[in-house]
Amino acid sequence: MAATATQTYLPEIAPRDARDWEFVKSLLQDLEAEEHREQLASAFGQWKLLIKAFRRVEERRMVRQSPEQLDWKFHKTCLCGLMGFGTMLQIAAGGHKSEDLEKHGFHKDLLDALLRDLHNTFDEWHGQVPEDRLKALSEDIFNAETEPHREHSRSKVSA
Amino acid sequence: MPRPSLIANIHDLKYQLREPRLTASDFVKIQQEYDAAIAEACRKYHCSKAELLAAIRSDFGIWVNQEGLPWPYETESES
Repeated sequence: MAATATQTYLPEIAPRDARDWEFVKSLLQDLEAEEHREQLASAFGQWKLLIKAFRRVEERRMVRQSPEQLDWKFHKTCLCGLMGFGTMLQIAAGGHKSEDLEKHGFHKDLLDALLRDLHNTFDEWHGQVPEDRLKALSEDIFNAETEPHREHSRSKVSA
Repeated sequence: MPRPSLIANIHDLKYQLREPRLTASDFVKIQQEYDAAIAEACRKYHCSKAELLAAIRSDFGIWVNQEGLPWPYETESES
């Protein structure tokens, strides 16, 4: 078993006395970890709200109308910021058990899925695909298709 | 413009992902289905994910209108 910090750095303290303090210290560490999880969950909630705000503006400025040059730039910078913050959350959450985080409403699987979705959006809009490649692929998909177009029945998710 | 059902399915899954009131568990499930559908289309059209997503990007809005669907954030309060 590894020596505790007190045993290592304060060897003159009798182990029996140290044990009492180590117990209090371990409780303090638990509390700090709990606080950290609460902070993480709060940051996660803020990040999710930011993603919604981003999607709302994206829908209005990028999808429902033809985006202007400034829209492209804002879209890219906001997207990169959200991806960066989400990745930081992923790193920070790595030090905690999933079940401990879930008590605070922090779901690692949702974080991963939201990040994948943001990465897909980056590929979709900023993937730097050459124009001639895009044109050829679009023709391949939409014009050279021999499969008869059939009505795609969608199952709408209830609100 | 003929639209393969595979592409319509990708649009449909993306539309569902943009639903603001989607639950966390539904989001995770649909996101996995979305990635799987993209991977399938990439195999079919011999292209990368970025190429496919960029190629069908502008068709998404057309699909939403053709399906007569409301825009996910259209009815949301702007406040």
